[in-house]
Amino acid sequence: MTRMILLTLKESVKERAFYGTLIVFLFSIGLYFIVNSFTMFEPERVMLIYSLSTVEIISLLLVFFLVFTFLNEDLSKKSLEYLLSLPIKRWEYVAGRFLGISLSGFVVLFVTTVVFFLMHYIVFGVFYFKMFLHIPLIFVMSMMIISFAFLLINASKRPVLIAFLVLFIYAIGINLDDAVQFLGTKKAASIPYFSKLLVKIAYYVFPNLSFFDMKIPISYGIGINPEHYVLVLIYGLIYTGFIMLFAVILFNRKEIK
Amino acid sequence: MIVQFEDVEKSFPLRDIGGPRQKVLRGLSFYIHEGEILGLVGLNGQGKSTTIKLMLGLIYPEKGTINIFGKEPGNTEIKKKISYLPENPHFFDTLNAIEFLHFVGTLRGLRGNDLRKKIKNMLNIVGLTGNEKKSIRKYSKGMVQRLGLAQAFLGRPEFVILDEPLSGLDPLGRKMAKELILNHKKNGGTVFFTSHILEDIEDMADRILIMNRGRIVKEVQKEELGGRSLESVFVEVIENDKNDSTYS
Repeated sequence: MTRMILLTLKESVKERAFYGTLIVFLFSIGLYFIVNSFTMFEPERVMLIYSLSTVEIISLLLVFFLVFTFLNEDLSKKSLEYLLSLPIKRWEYVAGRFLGISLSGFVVLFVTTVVFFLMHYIVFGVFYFKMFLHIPLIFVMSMMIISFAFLLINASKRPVLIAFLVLFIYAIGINLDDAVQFLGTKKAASIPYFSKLLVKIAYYVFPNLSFFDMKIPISYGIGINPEHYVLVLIYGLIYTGFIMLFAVILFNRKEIK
Repeated sequence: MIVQFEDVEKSFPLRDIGGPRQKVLRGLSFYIHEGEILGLVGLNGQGKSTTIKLMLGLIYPEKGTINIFGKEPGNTEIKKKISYLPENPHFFDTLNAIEFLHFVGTLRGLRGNDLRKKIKNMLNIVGLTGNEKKSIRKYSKGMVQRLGLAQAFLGRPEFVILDEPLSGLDPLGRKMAKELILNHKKNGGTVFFTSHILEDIEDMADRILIMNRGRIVKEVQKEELGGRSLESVFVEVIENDKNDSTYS
């Protein structure tokens, strides 16, 4: 599996998507100073939220691009057929690609956070270590998203469809908590029972990605319950584990036509 | 015996999801001996690629048995003894030839200086010296095919499976590929390959299997050809099989 992880890391670094992400990152650094110069109210907090949001967008963007690129190479261009003819077990392919993409995302996540951490010190003169609390959250969230891509390769050979479905799952996951909270308000009284039931089912089936959004508590440095923080990470890891286990079981019997 | 197919059947659905299935292999039986070069010929869509995919454990038979080195296909230990060159290969195009061959070599158990020497030697044989640091993305079709041959013979695997190995190669490349295949046999290796170009099969194979409608319709030993060309034998066999309504 190590060879598969290293191959994926090596390919990731040489992918155009990687350099595209780097350009977006450089652009966001320039924008940091512009946004800061326009901010009148609580600039330190605003810039912290800006930094954390940018780090999240950049790492998720990279992960989406890498997932799509690798699926396109492996499924459409038939690299998968060749890879599986080599002495690689099927689970090693799935786990290796998954971990390779996750680690590439982690490196970008870590480096961008460190850069924004230093920029915060340069601009505001404060080492804001709580920024690093954001890294495990986004890392686990991106692993949850990537795991779905590997589950979906068992259902389709079309990378565009898989990428679209992964985006769809992300969109549901990020809004799921808001939808459930809305159903508890008076405004939702007129919504049919069936629709409410559907949202409740989705709440337990789809990944609840809104749990991982702790940008505001992190930037204010208050309201972070350590127990809640750890539970969210454990939830994400267990969820990812289950999806990956399911993906590997299905992939072991999949026919590579 | 390295490979044994016995009464293998395989079908695929005609549509993406469900629906009727089309039989691709109908009771396919053949074997491959150690140290021989076996050629498989057949018209398009007669099951040649399906046979290779079954051999590699990429797909599974519905009926019959397949044994490779005495075990089921897809076993990782067995795959260490096998190499495969797909038709129209696509390798990891962000890597360069050295990085790619290094990846393949380490999977075959080669390490350090020995691996580096073998990679250098193989790149020289296939004529990619000078282009080894160029990203595979920038290779022409013929260069990718040469790289495919280099990975197939790297570390001298016991059993080499080649799907259209001469496709996209210029005359010098074809000569090089033929020499690689014949040398592999000289060194005790076994080669199984498919080709549309019957002359190539005639030049290299010890034994030729003619496949039609999902089964072997004729097995030809090279000596049996006598003065006849493989093409005339092939046409005759396929024409005769057309008139046989058993499998239609």
